[in-house]
Amino acid sequence: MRSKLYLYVFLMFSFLSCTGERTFSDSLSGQPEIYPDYANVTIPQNIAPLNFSLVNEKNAVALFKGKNYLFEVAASDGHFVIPEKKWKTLLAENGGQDIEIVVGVEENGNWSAYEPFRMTVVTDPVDSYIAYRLIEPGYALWNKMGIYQRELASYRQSVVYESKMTGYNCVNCHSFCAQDPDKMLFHMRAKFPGTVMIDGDQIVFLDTKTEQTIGSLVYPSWHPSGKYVAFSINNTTQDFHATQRTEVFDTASDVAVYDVENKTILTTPVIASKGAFETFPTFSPDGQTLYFCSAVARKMPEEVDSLKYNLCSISFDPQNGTFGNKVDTLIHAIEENRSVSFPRISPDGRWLMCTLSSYATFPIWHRDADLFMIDLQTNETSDLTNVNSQEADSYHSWSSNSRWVVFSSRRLDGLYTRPHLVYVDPEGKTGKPFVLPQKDTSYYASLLFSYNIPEFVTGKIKNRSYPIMKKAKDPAQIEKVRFTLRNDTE
Amino acid sequence: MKLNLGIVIFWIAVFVGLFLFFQWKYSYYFYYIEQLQLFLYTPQFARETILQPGGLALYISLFCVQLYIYPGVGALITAFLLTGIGVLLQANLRRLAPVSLTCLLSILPVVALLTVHVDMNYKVQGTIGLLFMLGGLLVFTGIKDVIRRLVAGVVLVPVLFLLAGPVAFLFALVALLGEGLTAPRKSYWFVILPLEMLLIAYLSMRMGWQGEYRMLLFPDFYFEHLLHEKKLYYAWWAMAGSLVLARLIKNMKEPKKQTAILSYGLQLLPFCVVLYVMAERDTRVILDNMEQDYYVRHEQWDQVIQTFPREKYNNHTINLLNLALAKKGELGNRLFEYDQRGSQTLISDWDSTFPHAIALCEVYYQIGDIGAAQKLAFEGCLSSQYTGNVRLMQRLVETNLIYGAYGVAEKYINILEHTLAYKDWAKEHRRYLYDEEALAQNKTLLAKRKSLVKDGIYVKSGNTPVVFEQLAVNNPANPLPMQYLVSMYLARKDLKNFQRLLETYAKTEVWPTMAISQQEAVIVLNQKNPFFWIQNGVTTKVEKRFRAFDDLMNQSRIRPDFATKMQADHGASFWHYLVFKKV
Repeated sequence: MRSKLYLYVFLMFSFLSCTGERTFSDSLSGQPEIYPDYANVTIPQNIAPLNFSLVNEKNAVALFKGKNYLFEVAASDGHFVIPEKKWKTLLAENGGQDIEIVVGVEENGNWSAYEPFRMTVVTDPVDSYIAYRLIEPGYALWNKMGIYQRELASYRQSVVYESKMTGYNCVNCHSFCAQDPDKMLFHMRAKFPGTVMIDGDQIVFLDTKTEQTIGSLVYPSWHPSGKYVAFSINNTTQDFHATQRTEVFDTASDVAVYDVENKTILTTPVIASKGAFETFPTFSPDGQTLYFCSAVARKMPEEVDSLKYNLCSISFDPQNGTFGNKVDTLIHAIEENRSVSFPRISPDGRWLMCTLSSYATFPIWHRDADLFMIDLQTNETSDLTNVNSQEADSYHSWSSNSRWVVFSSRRLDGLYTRPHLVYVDPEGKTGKPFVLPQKDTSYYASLLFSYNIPEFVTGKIKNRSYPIMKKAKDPAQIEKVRFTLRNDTE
Repeated sequence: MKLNLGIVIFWIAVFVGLFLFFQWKYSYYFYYIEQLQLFLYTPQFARETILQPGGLALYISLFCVQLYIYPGVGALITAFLLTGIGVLLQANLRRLAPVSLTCLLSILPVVALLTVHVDMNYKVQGTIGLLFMLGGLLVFTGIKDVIRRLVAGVVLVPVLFLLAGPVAFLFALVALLGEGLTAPRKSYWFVILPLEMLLIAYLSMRMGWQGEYRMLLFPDFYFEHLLHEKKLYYAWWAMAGSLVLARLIKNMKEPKKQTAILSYGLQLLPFCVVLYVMAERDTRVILDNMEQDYYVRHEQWDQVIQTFPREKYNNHTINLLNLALAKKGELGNRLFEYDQRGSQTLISDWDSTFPHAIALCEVYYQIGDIGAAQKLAFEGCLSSQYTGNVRLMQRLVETNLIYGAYGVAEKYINILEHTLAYKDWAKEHRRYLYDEEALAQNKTLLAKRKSLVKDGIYVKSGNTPVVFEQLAVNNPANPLPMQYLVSMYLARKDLKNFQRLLETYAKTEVWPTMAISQQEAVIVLNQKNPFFWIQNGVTTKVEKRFRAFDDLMNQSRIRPDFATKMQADHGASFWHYLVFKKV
């Protein structure tokens, strides 16, 4: 088999040599060690070139081969910068197929080729942008911080909002309604605290603290109609951890739903009880079920090891803004000996993805945090072995066509979170994930910020920094929300 | 153009004066500032730094600041930059007034920059920006034709803004002022320049580049953004003031040679006086902190002890003094020779500033509380206002190596390998990555890991006394945790816990010998039982001193000089601290 492969490579390069291209006189065993690891990944046709470097090699070439298209890239000091036009052509012509990359290295005038590696090109497109916050993976302090967006077909990153506009305060929890770049929200904390809600050119700045709630609204998830947003309300703190730097946990939390039109927080005792920590809410795509995580309330921080969140759901009536009276438990944390966080349903309603870790609230600090996926039609779990890593894999969001997931992973160095994209086919089978490509392959090595809350967006988000800043700084423009406790039952 | 020898000598004298001033008074300041940056020799760093308003000035300033690590270079560069300000300003003023009379006017902004330049919240970018501005002004005023000059001004404003930041607004204002002073009738057109800058500022806000006009138009941009500092404005006012004053002396004649020499000397004199007065009057504790930091960084513990300013210090200073005493094995013996006030003088609570983070990180790291050291290194690094903090990044390498977090350690090593002064250190530490045998050869790292981990169980930071006790038990060969723990209990007057430690660890490898303050505390535990003292390591010398203390205490009502005598004879004892010091 191998000799056939080498013969194939030899013949291929012999052909190339006839046309003036490089030939390889020798073959090397195994695939090349490349960074990032893009070998055998599944990619969309509308992704920027996956530039990579060879580890420990300087003088090299890479041959990119599709069905009827072939081009060569010479490495510059071991780094391959793939020409964008050629890359786009290659992917456009090879949808639904594999492309092959052969890497050859030169030593003492002789060129040798590694075994080729492949990338599977699928025809399901990925959404055109992802949005994320860039923040240093610290403990309590921050300096520069902002929410940014990245066009996936290029390397262009642009600003959505930077906190320097409002005195370097904290901005967080950006969230989009059905990946719509014109309907979103995020929070500000410390200076000018509040929630910014954007609907087209309309910007509203809300003070979401009420006397009846334990704090301001925190983790958001939009109702598909755009008329509601599910939130958690959390008291969060942190402590040292023996091996993972820090443990972040809630000392209390509740779930509520915010009625956008009426500017009212709605909740019901079964999702906002003192005896439980309810958090991480998300709506089903039909908007009639509210999923959330719930743990028996524990004394913190002494019992943090015992804090395990179940995955629960409750019905929701969007017509009236009312809740059911029965909470269903989909994943029992104690039984599974795992804790659930960040449930997210694919837009087609088929798949539920969440993060599992051994305990506690903030999985990104847990090395054992892994992605987990359930088929909501059959209740079967999917094998995500090829998706997860030895380091924390956490926060994830779905693309609008339910075929792609972007998630946060610390697999590159164990601390700095990078966004990874993974393909999920209609049957739930996943490809090998790949890290968001950068033009400069050393970019992540020197970047001292983590990518936080990566979210797919279907278009470019307008830079509304100035009007947001004006609203935030004008106390007269801050709108106070109301609170209603629902005791109504279906 | 004929070189005016007098002017040259004048500026050489200014340069030398500045150099001596900075080197004599502020040499440690430059060493301190150097560590608060991260200048990388990579295209990515250059691109990201330069491609923003003020970027080129920032890049040049960071390049300069990285060189402060070398002795004398900080003073040299600063003297050069400030002299350059004066020279360029005078080059501009000579078009308005007799050159030999403009020396003092040119010095005014230099004087105004002196206090700013020794404030660690100031970015040298501001001074580089002023040089850009003065260079632009020179080009501007060198154009004779009014229309061409106006066009040049219109071009220079956005160019200066991109290269150097808000100094472009100063340029616009000074250019307008200059036009108004020299050709009032035609100067109205030049209102375009500040208006243009206001438009640029407005557009910058609209585009979300900054959220405050002061960061677009005023020198606040060159300072720690969360602070509002008035002294920044003095240099800008001085620039404008110099122009006005130059215009006022426009009609004065150039003096004769001998008079000119006298004139240079007279103009130099107030400058020298200012330097002298400033040097004498700047008694900020932060300068002591910076000098102390230099000694700590180079582990010159004797110097830390010898230079400790007993008359004025803060928690930061005394924390590091106590560290030095501990490193010399003298903490227990000399603890109460100094003004201890509870455990905060040993390890104070972090005040969320990066200077304090640097100091506390050092304390925790030396003791072996790696989790706390790592947290402070990280938080301090991100709150350093430039692009990072090389000193704390080194600590991040070390703490991550100790934890075995090689991926993260490698990231920081990669970064430091692209610096000028730390690349060799980084390369040296690279060999410890993923190589336990190599790491085991580094005694310091190995010892710290030994304190941190025992039988696979890591010490968890947070509860300091619990942590220190665990560190001491894990690795008795490191005496610092126990020294600190015992000293903290004594400083808190917590005799209950002191006794617990005594009963558990005294005369073991964890606590093999009794230091003087500890012997004194043993006596306090059981004042009537000398046998108990002997059993617990109290020497006859300490016993004798106690008897003398006891005798003196009995005379407290009858001796008029009791307080003085007590302080003189026993002021450095635990007994004195216990009885008389309020904590």
